[in-house]
Amino acid sequence: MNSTPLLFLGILIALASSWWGVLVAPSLQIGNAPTVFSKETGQHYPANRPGLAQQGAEIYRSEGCNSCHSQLVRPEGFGNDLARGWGKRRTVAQDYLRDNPVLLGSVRIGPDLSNIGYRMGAGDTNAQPVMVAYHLKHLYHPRTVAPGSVMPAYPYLFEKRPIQGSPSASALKLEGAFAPPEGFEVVPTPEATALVAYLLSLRSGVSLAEAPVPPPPTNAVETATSSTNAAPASAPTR
Amino acid sequence: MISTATPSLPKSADIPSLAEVDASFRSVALFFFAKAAFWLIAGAFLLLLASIKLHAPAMMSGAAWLTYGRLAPAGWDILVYGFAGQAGFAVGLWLLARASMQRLQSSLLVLAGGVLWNVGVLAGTIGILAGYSTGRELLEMPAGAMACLVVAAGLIGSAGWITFAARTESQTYPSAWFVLLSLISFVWFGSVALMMYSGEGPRGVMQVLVQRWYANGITSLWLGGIAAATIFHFLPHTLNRPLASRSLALIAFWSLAFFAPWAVTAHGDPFPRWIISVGIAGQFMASIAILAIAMNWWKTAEGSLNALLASPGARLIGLAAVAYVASGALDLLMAFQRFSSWTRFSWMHQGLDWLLVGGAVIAGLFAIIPDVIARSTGQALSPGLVRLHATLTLVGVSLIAVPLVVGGGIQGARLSDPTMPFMDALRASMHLVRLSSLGLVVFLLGQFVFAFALFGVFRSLVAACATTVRTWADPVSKNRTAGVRS
Ligand code: HEC
Repeated sequence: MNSTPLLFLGILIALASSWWGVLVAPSLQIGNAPTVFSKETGQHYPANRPGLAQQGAEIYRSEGCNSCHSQLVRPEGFGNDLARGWGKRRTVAQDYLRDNPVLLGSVRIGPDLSNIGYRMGAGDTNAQPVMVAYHLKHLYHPRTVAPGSVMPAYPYLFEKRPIQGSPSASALKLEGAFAPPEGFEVVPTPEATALVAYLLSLRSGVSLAEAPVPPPPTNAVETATSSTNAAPASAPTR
Repeated sequence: MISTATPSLPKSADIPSLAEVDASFRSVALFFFAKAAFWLIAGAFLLLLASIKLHAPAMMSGAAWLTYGRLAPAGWDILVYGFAGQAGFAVGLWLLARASMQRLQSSLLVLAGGVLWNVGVLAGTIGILAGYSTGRELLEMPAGAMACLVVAAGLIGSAGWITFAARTESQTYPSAWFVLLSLISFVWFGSVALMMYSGEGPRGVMQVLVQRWYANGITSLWLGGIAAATIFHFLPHTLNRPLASRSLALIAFWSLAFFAPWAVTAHGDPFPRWIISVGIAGQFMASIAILAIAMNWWKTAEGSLNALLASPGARLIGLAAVAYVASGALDLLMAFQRFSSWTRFSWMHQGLDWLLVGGAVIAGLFAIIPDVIARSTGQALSPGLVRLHATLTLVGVSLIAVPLVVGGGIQGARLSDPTMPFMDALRASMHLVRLSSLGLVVFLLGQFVFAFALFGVFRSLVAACATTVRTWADPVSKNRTAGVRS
């Protein structure tokens, strides 16, 4: 420990070993992983995110949604992510291959969002507009749909403006204390629309060899959905 | 371990006195601590605002830059880079210079690095608040700001290594090793991460691995290294007895440097299985370091624990030592599947961060900072204010970290019942989160006290300077007038 160059070299070797072990070696595997063909969807998985949803990913990053939301589903035996209905299967490296940025998150002040695009009556083709309306209202003020929520409100992703002629088709349906003053309406900005497109694109449900989707004999997912605030599409009461 | 060859020592005439070593820090200490004190207040304030918003989510929601997802990372980064890193550099260099019995070399490099560092922190903070965060934990600052930090750390670090190479003391001390490790670490992890993210950037979960490698590396080696160095220096110093074992310190040093940076994965991560195993094995190996450190400190302090309550500095160093070991122990527990399944993603995450950064690093640095200021500038901080600051910091950090760890445990226990709704588990822990907001208030108050005390030092320095100038200028003007008249 008394020779300066040797100490320097020793530290450098120590630091370089971890770089090689946890970054270089894994990147040989993950960096070259191909997309896989899924018979189920007839497409390669994962597909590129559509443009609008990709713009939404940037809003998600910029607003720091990942300070409160994770995007990973742990396997059976590592917490209750599956039992909570946060996914049909665990998430694996393959799911994130085309994501950029990859925002796994390390804290869950809110629920996991890996599969938020599937929640609320997925499969029902009429569900899409209901889900969009739900997410927009939720973003404008979470307590409109989730009383007591601690998620921040994002009114700046919306525009409150005087109604010109007839009300805009995209105006939020807000009630009670959340409604804008008489003669005004609240419409989403392009950022809010993109963010919702991103949320709906969050789906890690394709069956993979290393993470097969188990057949759905139980109604685990359904009971679990109620453990978060998302109302099923069949009951779009709020 | 490594070679025991003694460097050629300079002749005794070149050996500076301790007072000369201290005096060589005057401008560095003033510059770094003043900036650090400012950032600490700013960071704690942003974090307090963020935590209040958790209880009142619609408050001030109209302004994008005040949203939780921007405030919380910005506040934390300010704490880490603006305060802990910055004050850590100054304290680290001071420990290094004292252990080497050498004046700080190339102090211009250090000051230039200091300016650049603050430019980087400012630009990075503005970037995050304006929505240009990268979204990667601890690496949120935009690449330009990060590059400033890496270059600045390079300048500061080289001055440290130059000082060490010019040492006049043949025996090197554990505190010096840990400082040297810390100085290299930031440059290494920062520059490699920046390089790996440049251009196309890594693919898929490799992005996460790079971020985790960086974040884990700088917390355990850069910040943790400074905390360890501080405690290795101050514990024997306060207790007035030698460190129990130099060889245990050696084992701790190399096992920390070799193994801690591997601990980048957790159970259930979406990575190939072997990568998870490698990371967890790294965590187990790294706990050798924590164990060796804990044994060493314990054996050093055993029998005179009372002395750790005697002065504000001693109390802070006691807290730092406990927090350092506790955070290492919790990290180890996280390597067990049961514990990880239970507590991962809960408030315990923030609790652990506070334990290490707030408890081990910030409290540890504050144990030494008053001493560095007094010795290098010749002006002591007001002892009353130092005592008040130490108490508020101690109470504040404990009130933040402990409730978060406990609250995380409660939240996790509730969540382990799959029928318990997510929000109910969150609500069950919110009163503890409120307690930690209170802790933040106490902590913030303490930092105002410190800033005020530091302001006092500046005022007396200016006053002293003015007196010097006057006594120096007066005879001159008298002589001149006298000369003209006669
Ligand atoms: C302060 C932490 C916090 C932040 C920041 C945050 N959320 Fe949330 N989020 C929550 C909490 C708590 C819930 C659960 C209560 C609710 O539904 O409002 C939630 C729920 C959600 C849900 C519904 C999930 C479900 O299963 O029902 C979505 C979607 C969502 N958040 C999206 C976002 C997006 C998009 C952002 C960023 C613009 C964001 N969140 C930022 C805390 C947060």
